[in-house]
Amino acid sequence: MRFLCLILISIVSAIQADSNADLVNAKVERTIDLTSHLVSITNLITVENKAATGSLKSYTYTIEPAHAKNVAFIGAHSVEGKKQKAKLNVVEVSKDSDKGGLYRVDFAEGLAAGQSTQIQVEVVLFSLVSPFPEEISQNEKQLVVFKGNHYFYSLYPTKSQTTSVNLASDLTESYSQLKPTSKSDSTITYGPYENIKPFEQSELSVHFENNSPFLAVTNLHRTIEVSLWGNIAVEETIDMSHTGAKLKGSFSRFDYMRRQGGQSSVKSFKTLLPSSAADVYYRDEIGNISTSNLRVPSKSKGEPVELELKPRFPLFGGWKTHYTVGYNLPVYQYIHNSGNLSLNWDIYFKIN
Amino acid sequence: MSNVTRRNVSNAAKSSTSTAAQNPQKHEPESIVHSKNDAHDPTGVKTILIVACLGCIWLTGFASRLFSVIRYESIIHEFDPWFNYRATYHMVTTSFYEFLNWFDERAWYPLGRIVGGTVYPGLMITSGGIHWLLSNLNITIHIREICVFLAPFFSGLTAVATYLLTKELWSQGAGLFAAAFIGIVPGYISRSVAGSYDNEGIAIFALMFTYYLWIKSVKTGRVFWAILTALSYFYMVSAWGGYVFIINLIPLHVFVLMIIGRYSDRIYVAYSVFYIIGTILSMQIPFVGFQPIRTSEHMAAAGTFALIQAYAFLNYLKTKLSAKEFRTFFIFAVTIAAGVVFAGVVVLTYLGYIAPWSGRFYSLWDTGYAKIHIPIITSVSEHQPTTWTSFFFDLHILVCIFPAGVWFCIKEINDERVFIVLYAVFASYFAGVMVRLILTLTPVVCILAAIALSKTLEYYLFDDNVGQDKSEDKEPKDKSQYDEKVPRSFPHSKPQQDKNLSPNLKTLVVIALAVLLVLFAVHCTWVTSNAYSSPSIVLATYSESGHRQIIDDFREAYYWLRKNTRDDARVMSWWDYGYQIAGMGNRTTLVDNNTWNNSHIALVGKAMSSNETEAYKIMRELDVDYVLVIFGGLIGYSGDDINKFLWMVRIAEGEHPKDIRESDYFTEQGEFRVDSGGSQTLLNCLMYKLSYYRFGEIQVDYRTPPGFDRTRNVEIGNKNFRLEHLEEAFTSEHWIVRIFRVKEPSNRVANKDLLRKIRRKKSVHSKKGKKRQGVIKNKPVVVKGKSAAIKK
Repeated sequence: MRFLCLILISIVSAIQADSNADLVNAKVERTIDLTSHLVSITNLITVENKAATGSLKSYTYTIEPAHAKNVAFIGAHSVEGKKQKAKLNVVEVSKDSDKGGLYRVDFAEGLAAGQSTQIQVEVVLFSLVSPFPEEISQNEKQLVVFKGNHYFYSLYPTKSQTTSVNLASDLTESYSQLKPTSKSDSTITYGPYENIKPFEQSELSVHFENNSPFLAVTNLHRTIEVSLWGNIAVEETIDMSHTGAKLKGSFSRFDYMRRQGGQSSVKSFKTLLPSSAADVYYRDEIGNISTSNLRVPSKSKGEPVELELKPRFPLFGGWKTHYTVGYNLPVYQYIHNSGNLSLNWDIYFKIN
Repeated sequence: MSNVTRRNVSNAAKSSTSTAAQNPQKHEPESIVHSKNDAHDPTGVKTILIVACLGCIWLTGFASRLFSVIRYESIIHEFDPWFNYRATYHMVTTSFYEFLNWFDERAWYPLGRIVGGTVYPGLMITSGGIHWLLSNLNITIHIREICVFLAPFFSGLTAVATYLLTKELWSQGAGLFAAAFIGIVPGYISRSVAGSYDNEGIAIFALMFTYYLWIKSVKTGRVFWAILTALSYFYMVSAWGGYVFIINLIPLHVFVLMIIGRYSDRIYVAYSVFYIIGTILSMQIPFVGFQPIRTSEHMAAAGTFALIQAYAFLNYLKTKLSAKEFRTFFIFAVTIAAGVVFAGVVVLTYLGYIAPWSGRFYSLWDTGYAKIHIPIITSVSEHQPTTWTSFFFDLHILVCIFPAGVWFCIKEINDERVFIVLYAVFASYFAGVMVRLILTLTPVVCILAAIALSKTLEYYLFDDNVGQDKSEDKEPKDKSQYDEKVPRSFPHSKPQQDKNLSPNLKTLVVIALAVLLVLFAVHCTWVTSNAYSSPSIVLATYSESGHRQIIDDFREAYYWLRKNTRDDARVMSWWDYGYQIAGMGNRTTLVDNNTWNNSHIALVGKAMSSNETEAYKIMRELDVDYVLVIFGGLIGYSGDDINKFLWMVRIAEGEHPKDIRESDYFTEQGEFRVDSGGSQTLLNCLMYKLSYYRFGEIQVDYRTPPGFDRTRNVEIGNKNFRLEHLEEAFTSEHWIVRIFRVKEPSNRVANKDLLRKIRRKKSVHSKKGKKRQGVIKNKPVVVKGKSAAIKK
């Protein structure tokens, strides 16, 4: 038993030795945005190098083991004053549900001994806000629960931190209290907490009203057909569902028409296509879906084409739909001849 | 040029096979006429012109059927095409044998349907074959596009077949006219617009082509043409139930030819070969099976076959026996033969080997038959008797011109013209019985109108050179006489008239005809665009600003069913929507447009016309999960279930006369009304409740009271009711489709003592409900009194 413990300790110390044990989070301001079904966390971290000598090149950002699988996006900037500066390089080190997600953020310049710098790390997590109760009737409001961490989860000790949680509305059923905690309107502020050890956790939970549509793409299949006659045909087949609180009982069109209830239902959503997209179609297995709007921006600006899609029926909690969007692109913008022909494709898919 | 030689050969063959009674002299001018007609252009200009004309007709016919594709989208229309599409899709995605053995467990729950054995597979095989061919040529095309464009494509083939047939009957000019007419005539377009993926689309081509080949084989008397006729007939059998029309019309033609003394060996060869091969081939279609030898509809053909054998045998004997012997023998033999055939048919029918006439067949002869015995046939709008306006609407001036064509054909009768006259007579009769059968009348109207027009124009157009005109005019007369006796007085009267007409008058007549034809074309385009080009599953309205608004409720609701119900969910709806629910919603239906099981439909009708509690029992028995009704009251869509409701009641009454009585659904004055004056049975039946659930709360317009039905223009009579056993599951944007979920039976409290408190609460609640119900019940009574007072 003792032997095992020793090994464990040595492993932990090894990790710490690896990842710049001399770094300290001097000050962390964390904003957790819960206005939609995605959790968007912005961390403003003041990092201090406590080592006597030598400069450090990177900072390791850590995500709680429970959330490691739910990371949709992570990005970092260096901050000076209040303004974002250079974009920093973020490299995924591990995404283990035991250790948590480890991401290496490279500083723009090495952090010399005794110096401090400010970085901002943005993380977007999905599937962490869950409806509770899981089933609601059409006229009920959608209540959701978010479970997180009161403390800034980090590899390094944290001297001082505050967390503010932005909610979709100011109606809360309950929220966890860890003094000092204050709530004003739709913002709950936790902290400041002083001198937090590395990997410290304490469950933060908020149960609040959130009527934003929980739109989720469960399956996306994109086909790109490159024709050397000068056309790229793109077709995306999408399975979509509303992952919010399931609709219990009946759907009344009458109430829906009177705009009573059903606030969390999806009436329409937007998707962005490349600016040169042409011949856009929107259909499903049984034909054209006649409800869509296409906003074509001025060509010169290179703005994306905005396609407003309305599913055949409003999506309530638990309802699914399926559709296909397709469009054509000119080849010359995407294929370059560099010895071999190569297709440059900025793959993105955005729905809001 | 090959055409010319073949025709000459065929004429030679004809003269050799024709009976000795024919005058050999007449052979001469006939061949001259033919060679003259065709030899006008040694360079082939005429052939090129004809091909170009047919090409243009094809193109025009194709293009004028595309209104709906351009206005809406490439989509399958209406009801039956959805099944055909689904079956084709099944065949293309699996295999041909899979399709033939397909047992569709998603239809007629819980019975299912053996699709392979209950469809005419010609349509699916045709489009599947085209798909296979194109994909082998590396042209990737979705099977839906082929299905959508199949009927317009085949309309071109129909035009060519009509041209060939008319050419055989009259002349090339008339043929081109007929092709042009059939290309754009609304009576045919109504069944062949893009998206109307139905059997008729290809069957009319098969019909015309079979008739062409039949005429060809009658003219030549060659086995080759007769076999081709049988093959074409086989295609027709595989494509459409209307093949019965062919298998009765051709024997009738043969029979009439025998009666009027036009029997010849050519006819014997043509008919014998056609009947034997055609019957054997037609029995290869699983759906037809042994019908050609076992049902009354096919007995006329068999009888004619027996008769022509006997006739031929007698003819043979005639050459061997003396005249006196033959006469006695003839009378004897004919009596015996007729007696044996008749007795045989009667006995076989009695023993059950031959099925008696089916109900659908009776309804053709007696228009009142179906109304009394089979309401389900009468309930379909296309089975209603035809009105005069719809004749004009579908055929325009052709319907006025075609009797002239019949007259010309009778006046210059020959073997094949007997056929077209018979066709015209019978098709006219049938078209008068059912609106739907205008379709079979349309081709013959086109042909005969083309003949009449061509004849008239021929007469009025050539006025430059009187001498030539005369000689040309005479020759067709001669041509028509090649094998029969036409009164000699006709050829003399015409040239006399000719002289009396001034060129100006002729020009005027030609101009008048041209104007008529232009009006016809305009009418056709107008009718096609306005009446026949709506997919009927997508509706369009125009707002006050002229902006077009698409009403896509059907697909909205069907797609909801497809995506948000259990895969094996069973949907109960009136049978009209069965194919659409299966095709677009991909869910199990209880009844559909293949109305083979009347009692099952009657059960659904009974559920719809009973009150909620009774209906719930039936729905539980049938394992129904969802009930789908079509309701047009919100936006004024007239084809909804309330308007069809009386048919549900009638069909239900046919099978359950004790539970459902049609008279209960009428007021005492015998009116069908949904307002407060309506009968209480109607106001409380399931269909009413599902259609109007929560409709009483909605106020569409400030000028009308809440719950105002815009289809029937009344304020509904029963407003504030609740549903006990069902709940609203989905209603489309304009309320056209309403889907209700059948609730599970409520749990009963097992232990009475333990939960007494709760029980008491419940009973209080239900009392409340009852009270409220009482209030509602009073309401209509009051209003009823009022309205009655107003009436008095």
